[in-house]
Amino acid sequence: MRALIILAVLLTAGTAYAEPTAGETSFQQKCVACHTVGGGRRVGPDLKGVTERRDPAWLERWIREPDRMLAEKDPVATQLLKESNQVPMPNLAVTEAEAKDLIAYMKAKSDAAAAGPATPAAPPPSPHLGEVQTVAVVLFVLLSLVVAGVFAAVARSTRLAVPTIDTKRAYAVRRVFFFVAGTVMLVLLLATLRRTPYAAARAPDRVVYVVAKQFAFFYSAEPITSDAELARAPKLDPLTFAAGSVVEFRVTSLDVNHAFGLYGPDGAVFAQTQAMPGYVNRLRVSLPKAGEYHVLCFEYCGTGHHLMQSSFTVR
Amino acid sequence: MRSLRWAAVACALVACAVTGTPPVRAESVVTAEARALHRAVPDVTISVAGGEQVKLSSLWHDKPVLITLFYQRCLGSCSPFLRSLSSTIKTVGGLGDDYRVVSVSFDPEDTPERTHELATQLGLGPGESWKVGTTSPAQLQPLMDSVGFWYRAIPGTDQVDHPSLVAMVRDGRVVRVLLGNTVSPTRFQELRLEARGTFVPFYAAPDASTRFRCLDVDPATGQLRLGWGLVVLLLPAALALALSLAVFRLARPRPAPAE
Amino acid sequence: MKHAQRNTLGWIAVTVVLFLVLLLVGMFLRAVQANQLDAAQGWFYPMMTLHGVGMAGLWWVGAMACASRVLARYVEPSEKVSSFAMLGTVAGVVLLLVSVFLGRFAAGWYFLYPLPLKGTWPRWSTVVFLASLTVLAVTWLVWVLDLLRAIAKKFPLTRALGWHYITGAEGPEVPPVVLITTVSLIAAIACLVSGAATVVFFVLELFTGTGSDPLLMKNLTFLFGHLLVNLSLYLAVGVIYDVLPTYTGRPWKANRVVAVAWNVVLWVVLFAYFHHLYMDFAQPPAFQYLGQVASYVSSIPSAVVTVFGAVALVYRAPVRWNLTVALFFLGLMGWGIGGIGAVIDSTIAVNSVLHNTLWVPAHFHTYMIEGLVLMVLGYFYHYCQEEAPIEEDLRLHKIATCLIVVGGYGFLAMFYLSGALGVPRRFAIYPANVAHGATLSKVALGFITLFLGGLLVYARELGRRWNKARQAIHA
Repeated sequence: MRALIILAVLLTAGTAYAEPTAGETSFQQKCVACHTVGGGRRVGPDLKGVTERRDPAWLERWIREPDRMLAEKDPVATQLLKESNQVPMPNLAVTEAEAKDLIAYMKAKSDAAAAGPATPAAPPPSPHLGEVQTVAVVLFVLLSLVVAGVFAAVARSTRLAVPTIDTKRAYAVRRVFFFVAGTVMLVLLLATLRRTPYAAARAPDRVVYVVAKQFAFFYSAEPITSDAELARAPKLDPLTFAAGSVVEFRVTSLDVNHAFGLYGPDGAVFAQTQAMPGYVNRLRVSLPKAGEYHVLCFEYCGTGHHLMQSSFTVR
Repeated sequence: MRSLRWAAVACALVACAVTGTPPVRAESVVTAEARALHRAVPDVTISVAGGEQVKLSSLWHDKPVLITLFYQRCLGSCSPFLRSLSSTIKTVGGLGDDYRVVSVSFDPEDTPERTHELATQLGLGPGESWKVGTTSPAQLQPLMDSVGFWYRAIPGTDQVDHPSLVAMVRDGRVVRVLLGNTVSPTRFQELRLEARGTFVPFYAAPDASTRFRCLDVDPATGQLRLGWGLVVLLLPAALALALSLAVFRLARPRPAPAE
Repeated sequence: MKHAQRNTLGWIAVTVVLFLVLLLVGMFLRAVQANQLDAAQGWFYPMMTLHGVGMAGLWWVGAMACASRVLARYVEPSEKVSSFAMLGTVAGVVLLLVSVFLGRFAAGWYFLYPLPLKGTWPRWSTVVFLASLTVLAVTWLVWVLDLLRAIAKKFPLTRALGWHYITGAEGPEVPPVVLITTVSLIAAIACLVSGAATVVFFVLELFTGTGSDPLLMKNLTFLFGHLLVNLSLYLAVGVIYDVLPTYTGRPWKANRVVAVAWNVVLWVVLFAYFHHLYMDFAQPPAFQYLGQVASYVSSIPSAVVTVFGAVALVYRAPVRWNLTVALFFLGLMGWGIGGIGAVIDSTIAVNSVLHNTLWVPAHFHTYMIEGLVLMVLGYFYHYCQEEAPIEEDLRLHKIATCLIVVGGYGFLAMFYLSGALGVPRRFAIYPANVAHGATLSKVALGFITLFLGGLLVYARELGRRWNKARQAIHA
């Protein structure tokens, strides 16, 4: 099995050496943060079939000077702005030749996507409480009920009012409360402080580099530290792992703070780490169960925050 | 001797220019180093001078092994590289405690004795933690592939073109590769931390140009040290203390004038 | 004297009106999340920013207004500075509104570096937002320093901090509100300075292009944000120490335990903010562990000393349950329950799965709408009723309180449940794998409407007295 994974890694790495077309390179550099071709909507629309949907001259101008078209209140442009939650398409200084390459690439990729088999989307998992979450909820509800109960009892006690209470007894009760609360706290501290995500349990079977960028996650077998490298590096798309493997995600960001929030196949969050520009956080997780794992951005990163979704498969 | 070496280097460069450099595209060192990560390393047997046979697994069963490849006749980077590695190891430390080193010749003509001579000449050692030797041709290729090493004959010479690298192997898997003709203490320190099993949960991205960092990594010791950023972080509390003291001093209650 | 009354009535009006407006903004957010207002989705993040900055700032000034009024019983805060603080706050709010409504600024209330510089909004709106923060920080710093000056006129620092209770030395009797306010104000300087430092780094980058360390900025931002909210609560608690005894007929005095507790708080509160950075593995682990220990420890003095003290004060006391007592009492309960949610989330192992889910807004909304808000509103009512007494209809008070409790906790329950079910915070639209977030939002909307109903009943009761008090000044 291991040999197979290694083989798969080598093969994916190998494909990187097939020289990409000029259009593909430009697309990776300038478009991929907001668009896919046949991979679903990101901030901007899925560009599959866009060369047929739009007038060629309009499309070329839109690629080259979207800011001006928005300023001129082009009806289609305005509609697109609305659909993308008011995130405008930026002017990325695309040259005429580059725009033609991009259009050619989008057409070729659309045709290829149309020819390939469509993968049916897996139904989303039903809401589920993870183990830790269950403990948290039970503990919270119990303790809150105790607090509410005490307050209710005290509020009731005012019906049988007395002018003063015995302060000595109150202090004695407070001492007991202090020791009970202190002990509970100490026990909880000792029990939980060692369970942190910072120290790793065992060496990973695989390292995956994760780059977050407004508003998408990218996976690669190679570290990515700049936009140029992001454009060049081969992406792991789709990303798959073998069930039972330990994976180290090396997570960073190329622009603002994001976070890499992991949902298991049961639908519950089981791990996360921040994606901070200038730092790489190393998150080691074991993936025992097969299924579809979802990834959402767990740090507010701008007006397309909720569009930042991703997933991978464990089989 | 020296002029001869330079001539050979020049020849090698010319040869490269003529045959065309083989790697398909220029890639960053970081990228190239990541390529061999987590590959399984074959458990080859190394023959060391004096007839000793060492299986790699017998070395990595208790601590990580740094693997380097060289050949004795090399007139180019091998000797300077091994010397640089040796001096960096002396600076950073940890040989024998945190890791062992294995230097394997990839030249079929090398014998354990010849490699031993070179090791003595370069002052590599001590022998129980730094094994220098050869392996059988059949075992060599898988070993080279696993750590991302390759070589290619330079036509018209008896020399070969090859990279210089140190690969750290733990439990039979590559956990870190350092590429380059010299081994910098800073980078080697990171490698040593990995070897110790210290899980460093982050690393500063290579070309992050930020000032006032809270913490920096000391290049000499690899320990975290306080940066100016931390001072900035202490500033609010310090100012709060200073301002409160000042306010309470300036506005302090004066004794009432005598009645 | 009239100046003081005018100021307090002014703060009351500003706070209550802004609260209603910002509450509606909050309901808008939940409505968008419930997929009820698809057309207005584009406004979600700017409104989220407004709701966050607005509420955090509003309850800070609300608590400060209460504290300074109560302090005036013992020391002499400058009424001119209080008026200045109101002007500055209004100016800051106007700038904030410009930045959010005209510039669609949407970097969230803690504007995490470098998002304000890399958003979809124009650069000028970032500048206006930073200007708004600067105005607020400077204004509030002046206000804080003036209150400290007023305390310092009467008490030396060691007395104001109650050290003579700890050492057992001779000394004057210090009202608990003075002790607690001194502690809070000293920490507030650190809070406002770190906020200002954050702004300085932003301005530096805006105008010179000098970058900052994102980790350092994160630390500064959370030091500021965490302290601001925490200290607002402490200020309000100080007010309760002073006012609640007048309703229960029993004294609540400072003693050694109270002094120790609040001096511990002064230090621990500075370290608790580390729990916001657990998921930044770049932060040195020592800070992370310190964060969990500090977060746990900070709950002991509040639970054992303050909440216990309040409960003992009310236990079998001859209390008339009008709005003030009910809201104070419930506010302390909300503080306790929110604290439980907070301590659970400040456990690193738990934070791994709950950080930045709706559990986080759940616990701080508990602190706020069932804690701080009730304490401040309770004091406002107390103040107006003292100034302009009108006969109280306790049945009406009971209705208002019930609506606030049922509506509020129902609303919060949806937050907690969503968080435990993995619904992330700050999502305008929920993706398919957390689609249940939308359903829970809808339920939350129903509950918060009840809360709003209770609040309107309260506002009517308060408004009648406020009006009468204002007329009395002008008469």
